[in-house]
Parts: sequence; structure tokens; C-alpha cells
Amino acid sequence: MARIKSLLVLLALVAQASATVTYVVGSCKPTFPLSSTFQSISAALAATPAPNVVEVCPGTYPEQLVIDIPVTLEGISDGASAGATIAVPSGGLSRGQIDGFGNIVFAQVLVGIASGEVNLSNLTVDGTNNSVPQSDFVAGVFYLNSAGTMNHLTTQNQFGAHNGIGVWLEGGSAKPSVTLENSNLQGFDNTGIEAETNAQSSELTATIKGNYLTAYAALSGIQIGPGATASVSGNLMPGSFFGISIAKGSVSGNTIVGAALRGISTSGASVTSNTIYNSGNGRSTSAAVWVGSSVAAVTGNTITQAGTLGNAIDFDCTAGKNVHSNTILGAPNGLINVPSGVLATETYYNVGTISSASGCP
Amino acid sequence: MQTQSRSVTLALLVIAGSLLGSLSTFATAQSDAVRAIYVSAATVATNIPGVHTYAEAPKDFNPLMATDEELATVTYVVGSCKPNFPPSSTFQHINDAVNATPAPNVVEVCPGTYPEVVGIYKPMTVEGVSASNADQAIITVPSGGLFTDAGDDRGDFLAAQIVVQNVTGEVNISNLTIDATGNNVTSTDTYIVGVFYQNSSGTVKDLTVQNQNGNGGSGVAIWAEGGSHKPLVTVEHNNLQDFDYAGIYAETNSSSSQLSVTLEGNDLATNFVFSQIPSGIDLGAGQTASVTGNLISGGFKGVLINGGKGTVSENTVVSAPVGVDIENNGVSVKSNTIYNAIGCGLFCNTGVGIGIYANSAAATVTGNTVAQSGIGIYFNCAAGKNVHGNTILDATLGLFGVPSGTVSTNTYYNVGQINPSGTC
Repeated sequence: MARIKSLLVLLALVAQASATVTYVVGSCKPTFPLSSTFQSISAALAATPAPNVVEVCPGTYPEQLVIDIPVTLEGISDGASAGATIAVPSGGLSRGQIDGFGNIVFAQVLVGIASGEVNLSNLTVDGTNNSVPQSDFVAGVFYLNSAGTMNHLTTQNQFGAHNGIGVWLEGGSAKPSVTLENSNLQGFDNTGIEAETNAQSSELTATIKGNYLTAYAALSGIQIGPGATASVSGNLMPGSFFGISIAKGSVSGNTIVGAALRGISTSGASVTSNTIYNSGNGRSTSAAVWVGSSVAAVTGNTITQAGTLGNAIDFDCTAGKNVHSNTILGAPNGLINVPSGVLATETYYNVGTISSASGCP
Repeated sequence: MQTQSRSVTLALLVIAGSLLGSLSTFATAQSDAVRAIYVSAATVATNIPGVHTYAEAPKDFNPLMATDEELATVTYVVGSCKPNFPPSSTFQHINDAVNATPAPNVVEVCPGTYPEVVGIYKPMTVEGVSASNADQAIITVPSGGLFTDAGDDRGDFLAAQIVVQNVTGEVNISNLTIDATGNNVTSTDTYIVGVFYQNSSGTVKDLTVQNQNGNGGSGVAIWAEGGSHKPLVTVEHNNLQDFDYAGIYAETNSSSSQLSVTLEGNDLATNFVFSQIPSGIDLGAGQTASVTGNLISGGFKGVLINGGKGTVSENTVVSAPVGVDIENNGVSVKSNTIYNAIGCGLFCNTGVGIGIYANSAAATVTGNTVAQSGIGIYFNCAAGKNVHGNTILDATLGLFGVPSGTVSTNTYYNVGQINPSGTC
């Protein structure tokens, strides 16, 4: 009998240890225990026991968040509204974080060195009135050496002195995997999604899929820097000067409209089955796709250009037979900077000059 | 006053007729006097200097290896990219080739610039070909501009760059650029049109049609009109740019469907925006449409459904203040992506992802994703339970104007007010 009692106690302990701790922020769940209900997201995240799930009622929460525990933070619906808005506290953002390159990043939501996954969903992160010094960066969400998934986020108004970032992913020793999906990033003035690590080898795996980015007058839509490997697929992106820039990984099934300089730039990632429409501005350096690699597959893309916008694919005097089977419709110039001896097999319609090597030695 | 106006119109038409020389009749509500100046294509073609009345096979053509179909094919070349082709089958103008005798099955157009207006009245294929590192045959506006050369079945005047009219059999056009820069059309009563299919079937493919604009909102890249032939027109994988009324317009002046259009995989973009126009795709009455896989950016409305029947599915509409405008119930709207439907300054206060302005509950709107809009779906106090299963991400208002008692089940993320009450 004593043995059975011990077993029951043990089972109860195990059950308690594995039970989900859920807190609610806001007032949309009046039947929830008061002890588990908070008025600020920061208070819920800091409470003991640490939460597994924090549900945020519709409303506006002027807070700068630091998340250093594994948790799911999600906006919920009260029937009248869906999701919650994280706004800039009165006086602006006050805490900066240094990235791997020594830049100071003022993040509205900093996910820092969590020991497990941090998942965010159904939240709007609004950077209006962020008051970040012009020499520093402002970011809606910053994952620092941390893993997790962001789903159905909206980031907006991350404006600085051209230093505003929607979502920033930074790798590190934990070699985290981060997914960003089905989210809407608008109103940034530098980059929608930045992924990087200051390392030669990859210290970050990023999956970026099904997002929407509006990036008029911004520098980049998606920038995958050194030390990161990314799968970038199914994103819809109007605007920006550079649509997607990447070194490692894959870029597939994206739709990029009106990138002012380049739609996609790859120095090593595969680029397949994307739709790139009206990229470039007529300058000799602009192109729908720039390929600075002789091995990365660039195939099956559809490039459609306005009459005055210029070049479809820039081989950078480097690419070769790795670029083939793309469809080019309506470009004044099809392929440019093609190394001598390279015979690329693409499909052309309404292309003024199919191929040229004028810029190559 | 009315008589004077008609005289001016007639004078313009006579000038147009004499310049273009290959105009056919068009059946409209216009007067017999106006109609009379149009002559048949065949009559004019034989009068054009340089038109050859027979075709020869290319020198590298081997009849022993050819199929029966190939043996029967009459092919003409326009331009100078095929020097081995018989001179008698080589033309300098597209319009001369398409109206030559015997009528061609295929007209191949070399890279180059062709400042002309083309009238096609027989079944054939007209295609740009590539040569010497170039693949761009451009039809431009002739010196002096465009003139009225066709009319629709509602009595509108069209200054069209390619007219395909009352053809029995298919006319297929591919791999050409049609540029209306310098069209010089100033009358707001005249539409500037890149390609006009009137009561004729065929496929329009791999074209770039651009700059049909300039008179304040009457430019149409591709226009398909039905009629007694009940034609089938496919418009696919074209690049349509900077129209100021519509990228693709399909209609018939008929209460029943007299036109079937398949509009698939086209890219449409325009920098123009006026009050209510332009539309990427404008579907009028008297037609049945399948509109799928198109990418539409800019303008005022992505897809305007004014009438007809059919389906609008799996299209992507970016940065139009009204993504899909449903003014008529006959067309279902499914699985489209509408992004960045926001306000447009002078012309509207707030953007609408899908606006159901048809005054009825019948409109079917399902499975669409509306991301970033002022209003996700506008019900106009009339739409009903056939609107469901849509996803709305980031909207000020998810639904607006939902009739009381109507349940519309959709998925919402980051929506300020899902369905505000008291809006009807």
C-alpha cells in the first residue's frame, strides 16, 4: 500500500512538472484565475512559475519585451478583435542589444538566449515613435541565438534613419533554427527580414515562408547574411531596392514585384521557380536576378520586365551552366555579363538583346 | 450640332481608312454612312503595292519530310531575319503579310520595329521570332498616331493597334511587343487598345503590351468582345504594362454569354490611378471567364466583375486600393491572394480587399487571403453566407457591412475590429 501511495505521489509530481502553465494578459478572459491574469506582457513573462503559454487579449501594450524563457506568446481573439499590439513605451525604446558585428539594435521584442523554443503568433509589433538614435538600428523582433517560430505576426513602422528592421534573426553558439511564416512586414525603412551571424560557417538555420513584405523606399526585403542558411519560399514582396539577397540555402516560389535594383541576388543559394516582375531601374547594374556563383542552380524562374527596366539575369561574369530554363518576358536585355563560352538556355519572349558579355574581361 | 459631330467623326474615319487601308466592317450601332467607309480586308489587300499573291516554300524546306499539314501551311516572313526565305513570301510590314493572298497560316515576324496598325480577318498564327541575339518584334504607333479603326458593340470607338475581327477559325498571336507610346489620341471618347479581338477566337500569348494610355483613362491593353460566333479567347502569359483603363477587358453587349475567355498567368502592372480606374482585369456582361494565376499590381482595382459568369481564382493582387470588386453575382471568387489594399489619397479613404457591391447575397467568396487592408471584405449590407473560409491578416476592419443575422466564418489575425456591429 505504501508503495502504491509513493507511486501516486510520484505520478502527481510528474504531472505537475509537465503541466502547462498558462497566463492571460488583459481582461478578455474574466473567468480566468486572477492569479494567472496580468495587465502587462512583461509581468506575465516574469511571473513564477514561468509560463509555457502567455495569451494576450486584444489591446495595445506599450512595452519593450525581453524573452529569455521558452514560451509561446500569442495574441488571442475576444470575438470583436483578433490579436494584440505591442507598441513603443512612452519615451521610446530604451534598451539596446549588440549584434555579432557590434551594431546596436533596439528591439521591441528581444528573444535572447532562451534554453528552448520561443514561439510568437497573432501579434502586431508597431515601432511608431521609437526614438532610436539615428546611428543605431530599430527592430520589431530580434531573435538572438534563440530558436522558435513566428506565425501571423505583423511588424510595422520600424522607421529609423534608414535603420529599421522588421524581424532580425541572429545565430550563435546554439545554432538555432528559426521559422517566420505567414506574417506581414510593412513600413520598415532598411530591411524586412535580416538573418545573419558573424561566422564563416553557418550558425543559424532560417525558414522564411509565406510572408508578405511591403518595402517601398526600403533597402532590402529579405537579407540573408554570412553565417546563415535559409529556406526562403512563397513570400510576396512588392517594393524595396533589393528583394532577396542570400548566400546559402534556397529561394523558391517567391513573388517579387517592383524591386528597384535587384529582385534576387545569390552568391550561392539556389534560386528556383520564383516570379520576378518589374525589377530594376534601367541602370546597367540592375537586374531581376543577379548570380554571383557558378554552382548555385538558378532555374525555372519567370522574369517579366517593363520595357524601360533593363536586365533580366546578371551573370556577373561568374555564373555559367548553373543558370538555365528560366523564362524571360519583355526585357530590353535578357542575360548580361555572361562569361565567354557560356551558352545559357532560357526561353525568351520580347527580349531586345538576348545575351551580352560586355562587362566581362 | 449632332450632324457636325458626325461629320468630324466621319472625316477622321476616312483619314484612318485611307492611312491604314485594311479595315473591315464592324457591326455596331453606328450609322450606315460611317459603316460604308469600311471596306473588306481582301479588297484592300490586293490593292496594296508589294503584296504578293502566292507563297513559296523556304529553300531549306524538304517536302519529302513534311507532314500533310506542313505541306498545306502558307508561311510568310516579315522583316529581314530569314534571308533564305523566298522574297515572294517576305514582307516589310506585318499588315501586308497578314492580308496577302493566299492567306497565310503563319506569319513570322523578325525582331525589329514596325510602326503600323494591323488588321486580321482570317484565321492564322502571327508570331515574333528570334534572330541574331534578339527576340523583340515591336509594333509601334505609326507616324501621326492612332486613329479610330474599330468599334465595339456598344457604339464605342476604338483606336486599336491590332484588330482581329469576325474571323471564322482561330487567330493566334504570340511573342510580340505592342507599344502605344505616341498614340496621339486625345478624344476621351476613343479607347486606345493594344489588341482587339472582336467576335473571333484564338490565343494571345507571350505578348508585351504597354503604354495604352494618354487621354485620361481610356487605354486597354487587350480587349476581347464576343458576338454571334460565340468565340473562345485565351489570354495567357502576357506582360501588360501602364494601361490607364484596363489591362484585359472582356464583354459582349448581350444578356446571355457570347464569349468565353480564359485569362491565365498574365502579369499586369500600371502606375496610373484615377478615381475607380484602372482595373487590371475588367469583366463585363455577356461573357464567361476563367481568370486564374494572374499577378496584378497597381491601378485602382485588381479585378472588376461587372457582369458575366465564371471563376476568379488563385490570382495575386498587390497594391490596388480595391483588390477584387464584385458588382455582379455570376462570378465566384476563390483562393485569391490580395495584398496591400490600402487607401489611395485623393481617390479613396480606405482600401478594400474584396468589395462585394452586388446588391445580393449570392456572391461566392471563399478561401481567399487578404493581407494588409483597410477593410478585409465589404458586404454592402447584402452579401451573405456564401462568403466564408477566407483568411484576413492585418486589417483595420475584418468585415464591414454584414447584414444582421448573416454568419460569415473566416479566420482573422491582427484585425482591429473583426465585424463591427451597426454598419447596416
